[in-house]
Amino acid sequence: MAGGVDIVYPPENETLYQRIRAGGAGIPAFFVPAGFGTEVQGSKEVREFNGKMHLMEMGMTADFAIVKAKYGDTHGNLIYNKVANNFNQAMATAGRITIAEVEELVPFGSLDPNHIHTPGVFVQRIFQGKDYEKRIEFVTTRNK
Amino acid sequence: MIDKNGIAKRIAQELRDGYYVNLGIGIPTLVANYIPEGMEVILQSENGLLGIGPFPLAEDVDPDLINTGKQTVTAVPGAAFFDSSASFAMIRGGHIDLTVLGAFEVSEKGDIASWKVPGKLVKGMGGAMDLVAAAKNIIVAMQHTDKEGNSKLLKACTLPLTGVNCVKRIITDLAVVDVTPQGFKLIERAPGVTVEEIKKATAGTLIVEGDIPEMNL
Repeated sequence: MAGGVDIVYPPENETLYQRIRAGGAGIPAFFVPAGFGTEVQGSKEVREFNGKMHLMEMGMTADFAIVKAKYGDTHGNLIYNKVANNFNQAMATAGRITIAEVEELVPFGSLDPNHIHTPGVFVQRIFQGKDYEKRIEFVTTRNK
Repeated sequence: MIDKNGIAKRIAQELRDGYYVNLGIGIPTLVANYIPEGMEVILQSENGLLGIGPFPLAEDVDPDLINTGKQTVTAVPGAAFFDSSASFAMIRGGHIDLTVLGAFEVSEKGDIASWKVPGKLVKGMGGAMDLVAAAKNIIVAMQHTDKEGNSKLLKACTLPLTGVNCVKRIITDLAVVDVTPQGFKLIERAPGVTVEEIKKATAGTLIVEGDIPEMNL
């Protein structure tokens, strides 16, 4: 991209995900025990609950959320595949504009409502990808 | 002393039938190889799988089915897939019976440093901070000393902390050590290892009371 992009990585992992989930859900702040007493505590507000110290974390949203699913219909309903769900589910709720790439784009009405991970209301753009090269970091197998 | 498989074997003795268990990257993953015959243990992978199975056959390798160490795995019959939020609800909500993870350092107060070596290893911490802050039963699996022979069981951690006051039991190539309010307490010796050797290898306060049995491996 011309002009470059600054990437900021907050150090948290799961807390980061909860911040995004809260942001997408309209929850401004919440408390978690992770990080108390470590360098990620910084100047965060600290409160004790049930005899244990917790840090206050803020909900987080973004202008764009970019997610990838296995199936998506033309109204943005998404189904993820196996562990490829991971962070997609909360991320999809937290973008002002959520863009979904899917392996299979299907007609509205053809996905089982019981199996939808991300209801289409959260998704603003959708397209079907192609030429997938699914690289595996460590191929570990067993013998027959 | 014992090797990393020996450590894993000893940790497997802490498993109980019906346990839900989270195994961290490294030595902890080996614990899966020593689950006793006939015991049902369900392994949770924090990237979104409850019911990790063995490595797949070559023809069944699936890029969407990996563990937290990014190795391809299978899912056992009765497994469940879910997002990261559900995964950490299991962990943070106290639903996982046993968590095993590695560490660089553990202090006699139960502090753990396992994620960052400034200048050398500066990736993210993964779910480690959540694991150690809230998991109900944590065992650290590690070598007793580092490659240079320095103790990893310290008075105070020198590396950036993953969590404070959270480790209860450490199993190393030399010993089983518990963390108590008075400091490290020696529980078992690895086969062939003396109390003296363990004292020498432990920089933190080490309480030794009575006869210390050998691990039964």
